[in-house]
Amino acid sequence: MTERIRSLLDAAVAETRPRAAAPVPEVLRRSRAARRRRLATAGAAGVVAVALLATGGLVAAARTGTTPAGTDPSAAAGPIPPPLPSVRPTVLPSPGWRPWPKVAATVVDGTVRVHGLILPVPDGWQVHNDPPQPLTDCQISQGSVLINVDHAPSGMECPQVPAQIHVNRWQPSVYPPGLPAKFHEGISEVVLPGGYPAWLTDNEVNNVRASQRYEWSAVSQVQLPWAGAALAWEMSSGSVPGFISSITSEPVPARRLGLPDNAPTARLTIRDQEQIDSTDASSVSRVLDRLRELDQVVQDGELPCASAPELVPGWRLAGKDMASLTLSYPSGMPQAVVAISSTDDCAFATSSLGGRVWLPPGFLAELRGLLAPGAR
Amino acid sequence: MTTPTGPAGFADFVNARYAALVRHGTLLTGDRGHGEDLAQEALVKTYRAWYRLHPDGDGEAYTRQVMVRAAWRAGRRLWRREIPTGQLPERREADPYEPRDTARLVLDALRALPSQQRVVLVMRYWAGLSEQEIAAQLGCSTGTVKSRSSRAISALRRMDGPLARAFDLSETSA
Repeated sequence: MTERIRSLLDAAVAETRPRAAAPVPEVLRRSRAARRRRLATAGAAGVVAVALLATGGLVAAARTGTTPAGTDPSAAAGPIPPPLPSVRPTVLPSPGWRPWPKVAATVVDGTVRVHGLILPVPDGWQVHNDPPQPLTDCQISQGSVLINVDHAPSGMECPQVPAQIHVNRWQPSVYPPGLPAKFHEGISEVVLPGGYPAWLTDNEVNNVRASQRYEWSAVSQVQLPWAGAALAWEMSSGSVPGFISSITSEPVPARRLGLPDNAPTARLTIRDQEQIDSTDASSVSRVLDRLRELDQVVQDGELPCASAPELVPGWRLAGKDMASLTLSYPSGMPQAVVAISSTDDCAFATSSLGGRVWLPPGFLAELRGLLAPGAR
Repeated sequence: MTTPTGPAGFADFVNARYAALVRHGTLLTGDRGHGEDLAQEALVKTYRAWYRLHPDGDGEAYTRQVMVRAAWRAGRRLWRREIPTGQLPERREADPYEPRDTARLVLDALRALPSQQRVVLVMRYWAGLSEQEIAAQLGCSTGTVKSRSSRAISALRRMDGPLARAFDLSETSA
């Protein structure tokens, strides 16, 4: 009788007619709107990033990746800037305002360098650093490394998408207060040669994996928090293993987690679970204290663990489905993100402000208990 | 050449398959408007991925995959807030003179289900996928698929209606 059930379901939609008589323009309109939302969010984050750097350099010191071993990791986070006014991420100050902050990249000996990140320019490729105008695919030449280019690599404007790599600024996601809880997909971490983490959402993990199924690879955002940068690319899938294997960083001294001195709010998001928001100052303070106590520093070469799966040739996932702890100002603007892997055989944490430590058993549950008593 | 209809092949694909995708979305959401919304959001993702999908990939399979995952995730976000009730609210007495509207009754029943149960039900009985295939598509365990399916059927039986009777018939004839 399964056929009967199917026929009923068929009957339920047999008379369903789309409301949109011309769906293609509507889909394109939605795509443009989604892109505008992404830019607006990035722009709001940029305002705060500039403010942070101007008022005390919260992240600059931590992102150099050159803090000597043995120094107090919390000192590397720098002084705490004064409270910032609330910034709504969807409001742009003016129509002509360039919406996002720029990454400080230099080109040295055929490599792009960003706060310790080393990205070799593929043979025959050209680097375009901070062009004054936004670029479309039609204006990008085949084989371009584009730094601070106002362009989303969707490749939709022209029929032939040129191979391209984008390097832009990365900031943690903004969580304005009052937004409803959203499902968290988890973070996956790749440890680059040299030690820098590369973070990927589930969607980007799928995008990277897709290079093994399709001829063309398109990846929207690989987050490189210690460099304060994000990578995107479109290129032939055959080029991907060589490209990603070439991404390295300057050697990073092993150190404890870099953390802000204090944070008024914290958000803990764990895959498949409701996020926990805490504005209780004493709870957040206890969480920060607990994180600072972690002294089993991950040494060079210890990650990925033996059990780590290969994502694609050249990259293995040191952490998968990691929880994230975002420490923010009351406005929702983030100060730091700590990615937490809580698997039995490979439990570690990485801070966006630098530092990576091994975790004791049950640590994630302990954090949950501190932020939301009774949530263990 | 740039056209207002996107890259080559995309407009043809959308125009040819849009109605079918909206029907799929309607079943996944239990609502025609939400179903069309779901189809359009999925097509935005297909649009971004079109150069990977065309001409060798399967754009329709990709779009449907995005749709079921989005519908599943929507349930994952919300299901904890859904409080099962011990008793269903009283229903209006059936009007013997009202034309029997199977489509409305079935959609009403689907809409009354929690999102994840509805998604599993549609994939299992409309798309004809096995529990293993559903689990693989949704990225969950087969146990989760079984439990959602079982709860969906139980809930439908409490509601009565054509779907419930079809499931009852299925069980007694098995």
